[in-house]
Amino acid sequence: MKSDEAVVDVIHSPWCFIEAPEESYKEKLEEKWKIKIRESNMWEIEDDTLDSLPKHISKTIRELRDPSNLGMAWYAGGSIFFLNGERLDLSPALKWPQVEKILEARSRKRKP
Amino acid sequence: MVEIKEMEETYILDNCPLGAPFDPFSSARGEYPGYGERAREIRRRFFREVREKYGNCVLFAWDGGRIVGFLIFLPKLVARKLGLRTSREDELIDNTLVYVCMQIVPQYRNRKVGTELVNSLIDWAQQKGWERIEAHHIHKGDDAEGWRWSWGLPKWERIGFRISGKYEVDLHDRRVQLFSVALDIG
Repeated sequence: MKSDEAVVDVIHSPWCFIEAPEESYKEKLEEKWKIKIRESNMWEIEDDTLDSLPKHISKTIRELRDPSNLGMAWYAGGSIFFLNGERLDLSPALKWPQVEKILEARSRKRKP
Repeated sequence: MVEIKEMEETYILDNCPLGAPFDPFSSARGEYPGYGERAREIRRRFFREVREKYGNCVLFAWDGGRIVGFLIFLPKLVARKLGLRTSREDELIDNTLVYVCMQIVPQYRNRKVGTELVNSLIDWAQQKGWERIEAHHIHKGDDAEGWRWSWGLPKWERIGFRISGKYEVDLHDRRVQLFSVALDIG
């Protein structure tokens, strides 16, 4: 990963509404916005491997799997997005176009 | 005539949301690249694995060769692993199914398709030895306004489910009252 690249982490919950981009679309996004996209699938992540993941991902998955955590329980599937470890607050509409808007605003801000 | 059938290997659910009657063997699919073949493959792999391990997890409503509705249910352990809401207690955790969602294309609503899907789920669970079905995120609203990938509370109660929990969540800047319901079928 290049040092100036931002990281977009995506956690998929595979039963519904997942936005796992096609490889060509993913490459295009990575190149256009100078980002690295890292995807994880909740179904494939066992509790005993959580500690090997980036902290924001393991923390989110732990919270989602905790049945007493009402705040997280509303989440019902789909994909959760993070930009450089910060969770993105996205509407229920299609997510990648929203992420692109955030990246666009971010890149405008960085331009001198 | 609408017929309820279990998901079979010939078509593993990969198409969601269901906006219109859908022929799973036709190649016509959407164009959005964030939601294409790769996403469908991830979803297929998941449903296939759950079906192989637990017997099934999807019921389809077919009309002719087209799917007009479906109901997804998961063993509680699977639902919890995915971060879906489940009841806190672990009693019967290995013998509980969690209703996840139901979609019926608009022109087939109010034609008892949902009732047939839920009754088929109850029958299937009974036959396979499951002891409880729970459902969450149930809105209090009446049957018509309660449609958000599920029924409103009155329909669940009418079919025999009891209220097992009551909670509030923030939804799009609104505080919303939701219910959990359960049916013991042991």
